[in-house]
Amino acid sequence: MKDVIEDVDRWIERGDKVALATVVGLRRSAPRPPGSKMAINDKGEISGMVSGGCVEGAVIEIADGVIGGDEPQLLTFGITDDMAFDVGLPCGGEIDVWVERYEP
Amino acid sequence: MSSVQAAFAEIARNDGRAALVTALKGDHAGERMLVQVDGGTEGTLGDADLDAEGVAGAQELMWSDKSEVRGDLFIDITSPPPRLVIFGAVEFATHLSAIAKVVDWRAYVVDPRARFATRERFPDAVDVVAGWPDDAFEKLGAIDPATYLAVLTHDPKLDDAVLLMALRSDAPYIGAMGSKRAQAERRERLMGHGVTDEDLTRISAPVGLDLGAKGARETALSIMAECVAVRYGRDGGRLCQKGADRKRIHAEAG
Repeated sequence: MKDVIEDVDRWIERGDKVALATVVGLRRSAPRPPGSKMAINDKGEISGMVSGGCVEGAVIEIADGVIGGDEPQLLTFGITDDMAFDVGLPCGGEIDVWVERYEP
Repeated sequence: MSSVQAAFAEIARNDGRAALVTALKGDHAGERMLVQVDGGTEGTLGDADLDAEGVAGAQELMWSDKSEVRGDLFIDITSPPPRLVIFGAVEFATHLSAIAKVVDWRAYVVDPRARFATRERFPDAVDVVAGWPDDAFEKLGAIDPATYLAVLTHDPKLDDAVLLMALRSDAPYIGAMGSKRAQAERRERLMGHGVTDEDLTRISAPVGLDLGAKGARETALSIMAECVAVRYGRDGGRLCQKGADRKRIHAEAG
């Protein structure tokens, strides 16, 4: 939580809508441990990371939906994913990311 | 009324310790519950059994500094940086507190000799306490499972006072510096105070990882490295060696 808290506080303060993406699980090696967070606001700004930069794009798309009212979602990314060439992890690991709305 | 998420954020902001439990799957997906260090809760996962499961998981992980999935629940832990309390305002303590700061631990230096225990000598320590161990923990808060202790004083009176206190606590790490002879003498003295052999295995002496460290700076690194290894339940070997062992085992098995 601490990795993104300053930005989230600032965004909430000025009235932004915010989504949080959290690494909740990983198999084999992955760049960021469970609990790592990325925050996304409705202006398209981001803070923090859930991987080394490879799956952030896909997470942001889902986060935009969640900010717009979609249900929270559990996503899995990894080398076995259909999108391996687009968003696969270079280390060959697999991560689960939980994307939800942040309620202040 | 603020959300459970906001309550968790507030605790993280203040460098506190707590767990935020979120249901990831099933009928209650998206529901959240906050579990405090003392076991108190806020919010609900929407089901008494699920709440009980969440509290149990949270209490198990609370002091591990690891966030983890348990069943359909994700247990997110926020915790302050570990404390490293260094006894003995000696040169090693200067370097050890500096390295601790770099790796985002909170170092404290304690020594009853006020002339040595000054802020100026330990600019990287969070606090310097000129006092005996019991004074120090009164001021700094009791030893908890995230309080690591390094005893570097070379003064038997002070060493013993810290070690006797440490052995009655939940400290995950009690490192004590000293030559082989000093260690043997310390052992005798502590056993004279009713300390058992089993208690003595909690004391890391000789202190540090086996880096071949020379001088105060490298020795400080080896002590810090040992603390990190203890935090994550590791022995502290070389990672490349670990890989080599795996390959060898694989080759032998094949």
